[in-house]
Amino acid sequence: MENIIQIPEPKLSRFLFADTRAAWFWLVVRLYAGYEWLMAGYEKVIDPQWVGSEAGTAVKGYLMGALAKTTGAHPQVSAWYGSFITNFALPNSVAFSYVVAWGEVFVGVGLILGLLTGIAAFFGIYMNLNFLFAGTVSTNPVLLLLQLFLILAWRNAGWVGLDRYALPKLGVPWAPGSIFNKSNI
Amino acid sequence: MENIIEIPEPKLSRFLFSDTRMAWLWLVIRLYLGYVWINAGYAKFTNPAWVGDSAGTAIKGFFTGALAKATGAHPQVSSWYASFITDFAMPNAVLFSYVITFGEILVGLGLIVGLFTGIAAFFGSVMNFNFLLAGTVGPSPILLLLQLFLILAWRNAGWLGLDRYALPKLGVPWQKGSVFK
Repeated sequence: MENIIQIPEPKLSRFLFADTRAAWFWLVVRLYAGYEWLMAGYEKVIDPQWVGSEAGTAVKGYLMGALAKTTGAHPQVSAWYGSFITNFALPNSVAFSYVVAWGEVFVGVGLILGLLTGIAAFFGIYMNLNFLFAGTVSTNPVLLLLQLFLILAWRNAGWVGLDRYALPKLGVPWAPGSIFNKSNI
Repeated sequence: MENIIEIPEPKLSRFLFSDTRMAWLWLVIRLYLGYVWINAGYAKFTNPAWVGDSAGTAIKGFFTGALAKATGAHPQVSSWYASFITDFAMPNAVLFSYVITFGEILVGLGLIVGLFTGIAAFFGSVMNFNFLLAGTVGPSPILLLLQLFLILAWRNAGWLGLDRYALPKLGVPWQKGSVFK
C-alpha cells in the first residue's frame, strides 16, 4: 500500500458520518428531503400529464423550455445537455415521465423510512443535478447539499430507521451481511 | 467507540481518493476547473464594473436580477436567499465585488498549482452554490460536481502539484505536519 497517502480521518467526521448518536440529526434531514420528494412525486403520479393517458406531455413541455435556454451569450443550459435532451430525452419522454414521477416517490419513501438511505440520496441527487443541468434552480441546490451529507453519512443516517436492521443483514459488496454468511446456517 | 458503525471503506474509494496513482486524473480535472475560474476571475478583474472606479455596479445588477426571480408560483430563488441578498449582499455590494473577483482567481490558482486543493475546491463549491441559489445555472452544476470529487480526493488530488510537499509539512489540525515538530 505504498501508494496510499495515510492521513487519519478527523474525529468530527467519524462522529457525524458513523456515530449512531448523530442519527437523530440525519432523521430530521431525511424527513425534510423525503417529504419534498414524496410530495413532488405524488403530484406527478396523480397528474395524467405525467402518469396515465397523456403521460409525457408535461415532460415534453419542460424539456422544450430547457432547450430554449441553450441560446444566448451566457446560456443557462449547456450545449452537451441540449444534445442529450434533443437526441435522447425528448424521444423517450413517456419513459422519462414515469421514471421521474415514480423515482421521486421512491426516493421520498426511502429517505423517510431510512431504507438504503445513501442509495436513495444518490438517486435524489442524480435527479436534482439533471434538473439543474436543464436550467431549473428552485429547491434543487438545497436538496442537493442535504443529500450529499446523507450520502457521506450512509452508515448512520438510517440508524433511526430501517437501515439499522437492513444494513447489517445486507452488508455491502465488499463486506457481505449476515444473510450471505453461510457459516450462520 | 461502541456507538461507531464500523463498515470498511471500499477499495475503490481508497484507490480514487488516497492513491497517488490516481493523481493524474485529478490533475486533468484541476487544470480544467482552474482554467474556468481564472478566466472568469480575470474577466472581472479587468472590468471596472467589478474592480476599480465603478466596483459593485456589475454585482448589483446580478443581485437585482436574482431578486426578480424570487416571485411567482415556482420561484427560482427561494425567499430566504432573497432576504440574504436584500439585507446583507446588496448593502455590501462593493465588498462582494472584490471578494468574488479575487476569490475566483485564488481558487483557480490553487487548483492549477495543486496547493490546498481541497480547500480551493471547497471555496469554489461555495461560490457555485451561491450562484445557483441566486438562480443562475450556467456551468455551476458541473463545476460543483467536479469540485465535490476534488474535496473527497483532498489527500491525493494535489500530489501532482504543491500539495505533495505542502500537506506532509503542514499536516492537518488533528495531525500536525513536520514544520510543527
